[in-house]
Amino acid sequence: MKNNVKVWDYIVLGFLAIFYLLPTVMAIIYALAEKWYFGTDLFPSQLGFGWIQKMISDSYVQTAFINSYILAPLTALVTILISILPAYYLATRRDKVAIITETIVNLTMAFPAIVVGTGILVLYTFLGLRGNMWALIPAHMFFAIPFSLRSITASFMQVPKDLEEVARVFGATRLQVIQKVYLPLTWRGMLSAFIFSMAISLNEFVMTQLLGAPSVKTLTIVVYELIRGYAISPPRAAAVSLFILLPSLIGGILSEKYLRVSLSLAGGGR
Amino acid sequence: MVKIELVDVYKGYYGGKVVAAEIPYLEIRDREFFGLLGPSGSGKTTTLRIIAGLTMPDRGKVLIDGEDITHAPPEKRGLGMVFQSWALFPHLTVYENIAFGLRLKKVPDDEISRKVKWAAELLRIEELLDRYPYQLSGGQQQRVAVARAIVVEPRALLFDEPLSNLDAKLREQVRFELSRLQKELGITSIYVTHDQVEALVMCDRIAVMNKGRIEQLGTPEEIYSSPATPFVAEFMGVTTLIPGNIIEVLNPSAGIVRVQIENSDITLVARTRVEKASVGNPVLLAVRPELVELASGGEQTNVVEAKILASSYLGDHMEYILGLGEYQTRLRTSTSIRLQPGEKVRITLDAKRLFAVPRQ
Repeated sequence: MKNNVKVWDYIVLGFLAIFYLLPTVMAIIYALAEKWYFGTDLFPSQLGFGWIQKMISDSYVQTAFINSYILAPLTALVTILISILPAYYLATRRDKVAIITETIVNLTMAFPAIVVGTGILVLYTFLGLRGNMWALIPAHMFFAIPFSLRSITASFMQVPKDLEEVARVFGATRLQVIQKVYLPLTWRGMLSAFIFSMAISLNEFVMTQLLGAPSVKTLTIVVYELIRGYAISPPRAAAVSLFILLPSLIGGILSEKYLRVSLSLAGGGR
Repeated sequence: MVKIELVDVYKGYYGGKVVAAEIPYLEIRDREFFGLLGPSGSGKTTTLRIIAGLTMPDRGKVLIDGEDITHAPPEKRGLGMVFQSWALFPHLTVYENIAFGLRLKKVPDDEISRKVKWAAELLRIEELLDRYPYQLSGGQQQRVAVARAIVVEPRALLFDEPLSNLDAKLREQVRFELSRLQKELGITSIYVTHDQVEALVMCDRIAVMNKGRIEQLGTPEEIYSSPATPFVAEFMGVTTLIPGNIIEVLNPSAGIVRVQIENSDITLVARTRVEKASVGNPVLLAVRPELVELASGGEQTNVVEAKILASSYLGDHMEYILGLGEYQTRLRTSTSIRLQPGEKVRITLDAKRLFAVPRQ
């Protein structure tokens, strides 16, 4: 009976590993494949960094890279800053406002990006913000905030209430409590939220395409352009996708090592 | 001078179904070490939190030196507080923990340094200033929490069961230190505890709380020797409460009465509250083991016959369970006196200290 359970455990774990890792592994192999007779050989006959080097030296990709890596940390930073006060509210109070806010935020996580993007498109067109790179920051934040808010709220909920109360008695206002007690004690949660938000921004395609086109190019747009039309180039697209994957991968590894609690809390919510 | 008053304070939960605190009037005097004593859920911590501004009362006023601070946020009350958990900031060193309140007040660095050193010396934690809370023992953390509370020179100090996480030996030692410190600094202090001994040893006056209300307010001696209600008597460690009725008032002004034990012919002289010293009033005789002795033959009052029901050897003394009519009490003797179960003995109950707790 025990052995049966073990076998099933391995089957389930194996299935999950294949389901989640195989597409990414395929993309990495594709990016590194210099010779691969697709359809004939199971694996590439020659591996190398040729495609990656080509993409690095391509000025079009360079611009997209710079744009992506300006947008992502800025989006993450503003997202974190905007999330702190609501997270404090959600972590310390259980009133109607908190419940409604939580419901709205959770709902937006399930909203289709194309619907939200279309709505913002109308607004941006009216405001003359289409094609403006900085205007993409709030658009990217739309999907980053729910994750960030959950992560920071979960971290704040771990701070013992006594610490807030003692700080208040000794003269701290609520803002000072956040600054001097919550933030220093929850930096792991903040970093975790930052990594999540950055990954969401780097990965954002629909919003960027709808609101930034045609002038703003990011890495996701470049990947899309490389796999559409007649002159498709999947190895190039795979090589560019590595630039999107890399920070997420580093962040993920760091998270697993240092921020495990924060991430698990962020996922678990309350 | 710092006097704290609670006027008609009420705090309820679940739409008033649970009374957390209901205090018509309470005054904590200047420089007093005041105890709020009671079991869990009696409302003592709620009362303290209302004073601290951490819980808002549903009605009533909190006054400090006549100034209404009911709606003032905690940071505007100028109080110091020591929590049960001590609530030290884990990310700050001992020095920074103590300096926390001073930094918020924007006190200059050199003055902070001077004051922190003063508090650290007073609490004998000078060598711990560079450490973090996780590097300290429970007793050391407690000292840091006290240092942090006194360094801000608060108008009053609030203690929320600060010794309950310490082991028994350390608790005993710290009791005296806190008491000494409070007298030395002369800060009006309110001390919440569920430990009767702690309250008796440390406090100038005690309010015994039950179900959100104050059952008795008085000096430790008054509370211990003249409990106002059966609850206070039991909470203060009276193991035997024998029901009876007042059959004679011997000295109305001193509350000396004769009580007949229910369902028996036994009568005993006892003290009771003067206002309750009336014939016919039902009472409970609070019999502590230290009031019961074997009669030597010369006593005039409160000599009764009792039956030994059981005996226990407790090392330095013997303890016997006595049958007194249909009720039971305890007798302690030296180990040289050995009585057998079933044996009848004549005992005496100290009339000066035997207290009849009013039942109504």
